[in-house]
Amino acid sequence: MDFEAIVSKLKERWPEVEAPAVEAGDRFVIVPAEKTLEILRFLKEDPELCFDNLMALAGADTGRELWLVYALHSFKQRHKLLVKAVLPREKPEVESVAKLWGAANFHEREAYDLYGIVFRNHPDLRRLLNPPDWAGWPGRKDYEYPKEYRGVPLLRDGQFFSDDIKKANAEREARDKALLSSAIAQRPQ
Amino acid sequence: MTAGTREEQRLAHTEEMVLSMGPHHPSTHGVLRLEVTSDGEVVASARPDVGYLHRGIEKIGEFLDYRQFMPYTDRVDYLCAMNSNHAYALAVEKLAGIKPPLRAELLRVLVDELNRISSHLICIGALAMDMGAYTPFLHGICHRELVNDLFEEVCGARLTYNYVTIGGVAYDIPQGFIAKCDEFAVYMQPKMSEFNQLITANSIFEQRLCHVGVISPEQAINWGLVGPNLRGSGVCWDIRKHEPYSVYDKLQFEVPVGDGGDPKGSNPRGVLGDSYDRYLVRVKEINESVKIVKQVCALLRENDKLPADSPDRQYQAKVPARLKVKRGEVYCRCENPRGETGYYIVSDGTEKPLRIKIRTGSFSAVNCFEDVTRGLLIGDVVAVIGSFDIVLPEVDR
Repeated sequence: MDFEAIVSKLKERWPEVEAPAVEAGDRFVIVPAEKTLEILRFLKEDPELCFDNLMALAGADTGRELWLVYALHSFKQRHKLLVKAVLPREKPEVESVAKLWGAANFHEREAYDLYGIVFRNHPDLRRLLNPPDWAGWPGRKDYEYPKEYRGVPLLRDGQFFSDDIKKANAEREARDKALLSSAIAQRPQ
Repeated sequence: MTAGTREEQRLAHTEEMVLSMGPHHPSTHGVLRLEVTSDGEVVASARPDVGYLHRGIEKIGEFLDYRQFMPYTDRVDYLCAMNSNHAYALAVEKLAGIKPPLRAELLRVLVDELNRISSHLICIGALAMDMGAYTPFLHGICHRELVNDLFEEVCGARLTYNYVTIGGVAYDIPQGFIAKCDEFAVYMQPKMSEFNQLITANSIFEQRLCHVGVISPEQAINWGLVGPNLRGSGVCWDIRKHEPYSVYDKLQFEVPVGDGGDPKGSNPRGVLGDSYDRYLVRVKEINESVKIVKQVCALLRENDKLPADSPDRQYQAKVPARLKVKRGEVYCRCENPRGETGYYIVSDGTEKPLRIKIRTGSFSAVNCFEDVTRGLLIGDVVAVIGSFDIVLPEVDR
């Protein structure tokens, strides 16, 4: 099925589905975030559409809102579709699709890890790439890189070091200086 | 091979222990850590813990313009940097509407296939090494060295090439390069039968891999497995064949799929989708790649006869110095040695992308790892890792 046919089939059941015109690249459909599971289940189980393969699932941040993009593909029908859900930056929540495609498990964990998108009913929603106690959502546009992690400075430039580390460095330097000057003083003339 | 029947396992049940395999385990192919809960030798669950190599490549891409990101794609998968370059270039070209000239496409396919050979050689060699046979690995490394020499001649680098650019390739090939590629193709074919005699037909090796980590076609599709892992389960799907990009539609090659359990096939003692099937698919793919290299060399010789100013003879399309891409988004995929590599790129009309998402083959392989290894022996977990051909920087990015 071509893109237009898929869109009209979706619009029959969900009139709120949009397919905006694009300047370049692939066409995509925008679905309401609260109905993603319902619509994706239909896309997977309808025999004419039969999207049996989730190629990728990507979170994205535009600065104003978060996107969740499902790239679907059908081995039987040989067609592809990009499905996008737009989520608010505060409390982004969406239903997990790990029940439909096993492939979604890690992709959703990654989207949670990087963008803070919470997937309801996900089997094991933990951070995937970052350590479990990492703070913040690194994928987002307003993310500030932390200055240290468990006492390890993460930025090279000294000015970004925390006060504790600065203080310790200053103490060490003072100590080194004192040692050096005493060594010079004790040097035989 | 699962250890005994379920009843026997229940009777033999003792206390469960948690074993941390990795991140610096020699057989986990990089920094993969497995949290193995096992009852004696039987694995109850092997949960992969990834992220040790997370460099935030996708995020770095948001701060660079489209061209500057190319060297980072080398580091996504260092065993097949040419293919990663190509996948990214294809995605940007699709978004920006650039068409590379014919010669560039031929050169890209040539280096892609050479890199596929070298990547598969590492995979099958390392799998044999995991199974306790050290010699095949050295044979693989030895043949791969020749590919590296060829790449060094063409772009100066041996691992991270940065050769494919947006709109073509970075340099034309040096004189006499086609003859060397042909020579390599002629050299490689008998070497593969030597390799097969050395390890593929080895009955210990076969027994270690048959019936281990069996994945049915339905499961493979559901878990989103791609490339040789998918084809090992008997699903005939190769993007080069079924959604041809570059000049793959002009080339003749076959798509090897797993045929375990077929008495006339190459894996009569196994079942469809076991580790041995995945291994065999890679061995057969090397032969197919050698065929493609030969064909591309012939096409390049024809291309050489064109007048020097012919548009088909150029190796780089005209791309503006400040590449601005129209507003839009694209998901473009490419067949890498580890399967489908997809680049999802969102452009907001500026010089820098708004988002780059890289979907890689190893990512889905690690995803299904826990389900595949349940009930196996610990030694077989190593076989499954090897047969999946996991490369960790690709998972963590």
